[in-house]
Amino acid sequence: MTSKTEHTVPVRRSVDEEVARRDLVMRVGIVVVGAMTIVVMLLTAGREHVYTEWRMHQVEHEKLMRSVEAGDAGPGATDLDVHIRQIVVPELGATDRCTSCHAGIEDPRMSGQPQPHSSHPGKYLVQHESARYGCTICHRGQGRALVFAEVKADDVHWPYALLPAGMTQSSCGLCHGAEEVREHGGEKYAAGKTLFEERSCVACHQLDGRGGSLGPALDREGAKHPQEVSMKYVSGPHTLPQWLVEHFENPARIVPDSKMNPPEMTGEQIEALTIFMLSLQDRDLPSEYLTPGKYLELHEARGVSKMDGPELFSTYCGVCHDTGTYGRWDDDYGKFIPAVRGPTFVQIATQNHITAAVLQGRPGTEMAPWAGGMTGEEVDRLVEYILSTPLPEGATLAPEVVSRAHQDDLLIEGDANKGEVLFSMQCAACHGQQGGGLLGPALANGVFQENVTDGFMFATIAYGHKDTAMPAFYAPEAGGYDIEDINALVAFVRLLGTGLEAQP
Amino acid sequence: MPKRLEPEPLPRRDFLSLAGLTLTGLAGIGATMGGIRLLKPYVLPERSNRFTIGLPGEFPVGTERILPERNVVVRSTPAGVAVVSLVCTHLGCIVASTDEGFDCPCHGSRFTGEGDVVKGPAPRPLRWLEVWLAPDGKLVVDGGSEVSPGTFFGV
Amino acid sequence: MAEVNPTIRTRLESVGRDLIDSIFRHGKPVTDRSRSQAVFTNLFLHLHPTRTHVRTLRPTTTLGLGTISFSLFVVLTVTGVLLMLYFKPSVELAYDSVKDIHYVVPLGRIMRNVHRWAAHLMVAAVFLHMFRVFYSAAYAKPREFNWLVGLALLVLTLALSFTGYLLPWDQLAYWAITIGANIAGSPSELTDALGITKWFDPGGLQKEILLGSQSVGGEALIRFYTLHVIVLPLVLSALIGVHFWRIRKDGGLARPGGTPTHAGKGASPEGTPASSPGEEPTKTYGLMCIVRDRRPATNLDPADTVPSWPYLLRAEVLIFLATFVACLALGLAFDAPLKELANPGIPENPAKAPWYFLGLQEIVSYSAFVGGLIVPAVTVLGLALVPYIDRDTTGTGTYFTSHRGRKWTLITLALAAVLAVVAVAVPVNIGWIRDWYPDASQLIVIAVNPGSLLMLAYAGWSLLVLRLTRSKRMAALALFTCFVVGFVILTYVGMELRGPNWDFFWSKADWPVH
Repeated sequence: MTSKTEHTVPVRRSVDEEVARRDLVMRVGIVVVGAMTIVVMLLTAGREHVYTEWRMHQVEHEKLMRSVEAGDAGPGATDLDVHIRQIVVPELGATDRCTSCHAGIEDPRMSGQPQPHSSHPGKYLVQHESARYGCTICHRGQGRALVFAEVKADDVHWPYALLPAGMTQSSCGLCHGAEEVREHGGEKYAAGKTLFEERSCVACHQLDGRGGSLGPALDREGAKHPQEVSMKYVSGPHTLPQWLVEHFENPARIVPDSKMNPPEMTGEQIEALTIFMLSLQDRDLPSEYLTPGKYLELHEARGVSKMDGPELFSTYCGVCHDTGTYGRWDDDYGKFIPAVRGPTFVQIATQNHITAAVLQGRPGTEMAPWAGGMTGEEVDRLVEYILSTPLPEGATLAPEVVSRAHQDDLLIEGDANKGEVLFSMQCAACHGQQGGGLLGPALANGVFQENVTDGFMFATIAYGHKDTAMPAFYAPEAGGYDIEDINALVAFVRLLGTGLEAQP
Repeated sequence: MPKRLEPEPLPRRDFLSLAGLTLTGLAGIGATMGGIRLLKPYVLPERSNRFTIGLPGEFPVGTERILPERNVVVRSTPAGVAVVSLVCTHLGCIVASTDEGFDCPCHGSRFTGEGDVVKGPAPRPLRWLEVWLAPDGKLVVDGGSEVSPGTFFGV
Repeated sequence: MAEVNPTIRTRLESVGRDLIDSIFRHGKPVTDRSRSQAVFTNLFLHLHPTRTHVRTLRPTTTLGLGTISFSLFVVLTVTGVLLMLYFKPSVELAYDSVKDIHYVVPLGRIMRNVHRWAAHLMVAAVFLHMFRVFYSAAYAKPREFNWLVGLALLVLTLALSFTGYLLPWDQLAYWAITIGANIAGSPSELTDALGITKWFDPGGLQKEILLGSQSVGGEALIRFYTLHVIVLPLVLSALIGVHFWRIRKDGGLARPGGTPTHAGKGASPEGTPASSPGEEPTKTYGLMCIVRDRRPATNLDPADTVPSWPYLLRAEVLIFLATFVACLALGLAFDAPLKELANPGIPENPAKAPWYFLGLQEIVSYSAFVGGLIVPAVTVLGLALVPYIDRDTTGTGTYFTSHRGRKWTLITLALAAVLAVVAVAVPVNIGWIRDWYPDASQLIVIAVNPGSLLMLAYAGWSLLVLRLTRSKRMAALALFTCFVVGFVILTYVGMELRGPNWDFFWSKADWPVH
């Protein structure tokens, strides 16, 4: 339409007409768009400024207050000053605006009113003055938000969802010792902590720098962001409490390659353990917030350990080794678990041998290195305990056997080729053709090879390990091996450690 | 200027132009008001004005102690405890303690030990703040709540 | 006082008159002439001509895109200054201050939303404005320089948007800027492959200048903030002034047959050619108003012009209002995104750059150096050179120049789309060099990738069009259409079809759950 007129000389009248037409459109347009602008502005003002969630709650709160007071025939109705309320506690990094909707949280007259107008249940706020604590230190959630859905934060971009009501007691553990918590209504938290200790979770997980390294450390398990864990298989809301619950129900379902396999737990136990996990936040709270009970707990956890040998063994080792006095096959892991307090073992193993085994673990097995998980003193105490295991009747070995086993520089020479033949006949069935371990422990293992003495090997083969599957092979009269045979086997097992083939 | 070169005034604005102009103006006023509303915050990003000063035993009777981080002086007398603000009532400087009372370094106001004005432009005595005992037995001060001078909180 | 002293009243009236006179300098703007004079003598209004060609008022001429861009800039400046009052540019405070703007600053949420949407719209509007100018060949002589200014404005707009992206300090911002900064550092990819990074490291230098550190942190935040609120807006404002001024000095909007010469506005191209430089007019006159029944003699036929006040001003007010209400409505309907606090330990997956860089990110996924620097550098350089290579002034002001131009644009459209789709589809479906020869030299991976090949194919097609048509204009249309199509398709792929690990997904519903 426009291109036609462009190359001809326009006539003034047609220009006037066109301009008049366009100008009419402009003027109507301005009126229409101007009116739209004002409508949108009014909508904006209404939503952003007038009909906000917190304002509506406060208006309703004011009405409630009047009716409550009229009913009590108390003093004249108070006017509620409608404004955003907030509690700023720099020490706790809290800016909590929860009281903007929970305006009656500290008003005893509002007890029993519907949420969000009700006062806080219990007497918690008397002991925990709101100005000093805020709300999110206990309840979590997004304290800065003024819209409940975003305070709750189970589906918005905020790392810490509001704790489910039953789990709030996990936060008590931030400042209080477990006993204090138990006495003041936090039984689940205390039960969770007890369960954590009873089940020896620290055997695999470190807490405060103590414990095993098979699983991840748990110091900030309760402070993890939802992105830090995989929510792929979580069926409930994608929050940390939910993840923990479902994970405890079946670890391998939530974390597919998880080796964690705790004995079946009841729903209550799972809840308690989850609550305890949630309290592990690795927060550096100002010291004036911590109670004496908490100090004691921290001191015990981080200070000089008071655990003696038996305690250490049952806490850190017992989960797998049980009493340690017998060797067993573990179906869950498909692994052999040696008798580390077996009567034969404790007689022929040197202190260095056991210490090294504890500190360095057994690569390739579930026995993870404990260096760092226990203090040096604790390791010493534990090793001492293991070595001092009482011997059952008739288990005592001849003194010369024991002393040979404790001789570091004893070098047993034998015919490795013969050893290989004997090994494949008698030993390979349990220890594996290459000594990789099957029903019996792996022999081609660096840590093992480095720390056992030749005398230990000799004694082991010759006299077996009592109360384990390892039989005694020394029986020259009964058609068993003679000393030469055993020497040959020792020489071959040593070769396994180097990974070399036996040479003629 | 010759008359014929002077252009005629345009016809008065029609209704549409006027309506458009009015609506545009209203929108402008609305936007400006919105911008101005934004300047006055709903909440101030400060911590609560209430603060704990400690157990009553920390303030033996007959002593005065200045808490510099809170800009208050705590006076403990047989009648009880009082907390007086050290913010000059003139223009908000922090007054300094002297033998006779308090001197303001900014404009020379001078106050007695009780906070009464003796010299200078300060329009009123130093503010006495409300004090009470929290459930944990510690003294709490509300920096935003004033009591009449001479009010002591009996412990 | 019931009675007003007549002397005082007269005085007041005369003060009022003087006030109006002093503002408008030529009396109340009630006549064509006084309005023209008001426009002429007012700092803000005199960016306009006193009279406007009627063609300018036709919506199809410009689609109002320049005015929309400028309106958005005004909206952004006002909302931006207001947001500055509450935003705290430090790593510890930035995120919380944005949360506070969202939750407790009165109208802060809508202000931030409007700022965000206006920023996105401005990038879009500036791009579309460039498309419009190009397709109507309005870059042709004498407007080459203004095309360059416009190009600089485009780059500045992108830079403003990009620097603003970091400020909320959330996961989205942090990882988008990390990627952007590493693109700036991507020449290291080439220097590494050549083994000369130790002596010559322009990539590292660029990245360090941008971030003030090796990674995105407090230094980067304050740098981006300074750029975003002071440096870039000042430069942009100055260039906008130049851009507007040149529109007028270059003879208003480009229109067929109306292109003036460098001699100045008003000098008719058909007028007597200057026989020697000495005869070039040294002073020119603009027409300020039309007086009935008398037609002043100038070279410019005033018959098809109308007073800018009110006609042009009304159009501008309408466009500004419409732009503003669009931003406000968008801001009301959709909150600006704000994810978790930036966490250098947990990368976003997928970590995507702002949408206008997603086309580049698509190419970056083959080679950061080619995608992040070579392609954009060649594109900007090519766009800058267009008016100096295509010196033809015919077709100025006509979309696609002619029917032939329309035809070649359409052919190119189809071809460029196919090429772009192939460039994405081949590596997605059958892989690329690394998948076939894992040991391939890094230099080859850098040089031969879908991004660089697509660029070469586009350049080749444009040269072919030049050979076939023997018209630089047709070649320019072809090349530019390639650029537009490539930009749109790759951006779409980056926005919608790329998921975690930059894998290809037809729909976001297919993304694996974290």
